[in-house]
Amino acid sequence: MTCLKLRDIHEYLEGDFPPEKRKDFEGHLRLCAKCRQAVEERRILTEAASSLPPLEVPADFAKRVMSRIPAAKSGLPAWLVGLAGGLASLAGILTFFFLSGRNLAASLSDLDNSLWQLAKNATVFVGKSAALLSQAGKIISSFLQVSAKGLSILTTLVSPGTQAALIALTLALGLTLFVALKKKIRWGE
Amino acid sequence: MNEEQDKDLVKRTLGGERKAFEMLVRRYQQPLLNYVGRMVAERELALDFTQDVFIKTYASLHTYEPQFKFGTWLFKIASNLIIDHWRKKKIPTFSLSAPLGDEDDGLTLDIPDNEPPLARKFELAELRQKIEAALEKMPTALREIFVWRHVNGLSYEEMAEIKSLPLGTIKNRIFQAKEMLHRLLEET
Repeated sequence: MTCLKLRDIHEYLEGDFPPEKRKDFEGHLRLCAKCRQAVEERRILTEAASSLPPLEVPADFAKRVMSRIPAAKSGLPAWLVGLAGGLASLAGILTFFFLSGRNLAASLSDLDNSLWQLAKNATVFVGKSAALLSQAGKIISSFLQVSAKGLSILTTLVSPGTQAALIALTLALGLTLFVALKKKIRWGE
Repeated sequence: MNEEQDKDLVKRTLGGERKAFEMLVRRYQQPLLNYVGRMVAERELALDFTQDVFIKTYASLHTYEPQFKFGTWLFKIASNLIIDHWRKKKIPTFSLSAPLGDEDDGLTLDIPDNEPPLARKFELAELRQKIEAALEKMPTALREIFVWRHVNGLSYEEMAEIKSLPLGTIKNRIFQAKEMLHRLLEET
């Protein structure tokens, strides 16, 4: 009688035998005390190993983990807020000259003796843009809310380098659109 | 562990819900510590490592691919962290995929004659203690596979996914680990 191999015993205990092979294996076990003991030894070892007690987890373990995780970001990153503020100021200046029809370079050269003129132009600008802004304000507010939410998600999903690249691309598109609009519309007169 | 619930908790965590991640921590802290605690013998170190696994998991949550089980992904992070630890301590970390001398060593050998009956040698509680002690003497890669199989109850497929190894290699190593444990216990 040829006894079983150790590998066969482990495969049998793991339940990896097809039915026919299992039947032959168990048939041999009925006849061979040595193999029966070997199988029984390894079965007890496996059962003991599978019933090792769990290691104790401290009651405050989860709290300790969460205390090491930074709080969720509320709002946008500071650098993004600063960039948005700078861009808004630049957009405001460009819009002023766009609506007033004045040339930016010429205005800068007249600045030293044209404060009064500047005030008058500013009044014209305010008057003309008030109607425009009241309509645009509603649209821009909704857009900013959606953008802020999207950017919040973006900052958690995308690396800072990719964020900067996306913002630069958006700015380039915006400037291109601005220049194209200025050529089409004359609002100065 | 409910796979769909895990994926939902991951999604909610990525949406900014911290409580969702805490639920994942509570769900996996026990199985993870059961594994880590048997890979690094010191309790405080094991607790620190287990925390580190969760922190690292949170930081890389945006890279999690939902087609895989969250649990196996978590164990993969834990395994890599532990391997780094052993390397720093210069503890040998031979690869599971590397041949262990004679590939068939211990797997096709005949049953030794006059094999001492372990069952009669130890009571069950004592046997468990002996197993814990013997695990510390096992090579780390075999210990890891053995703990995953018998302590964490992972399937061959799950272990193969964690270690990115063929199913056959995992099965071989399980058998080697079991037979090595048997021999270590015979020596005590």
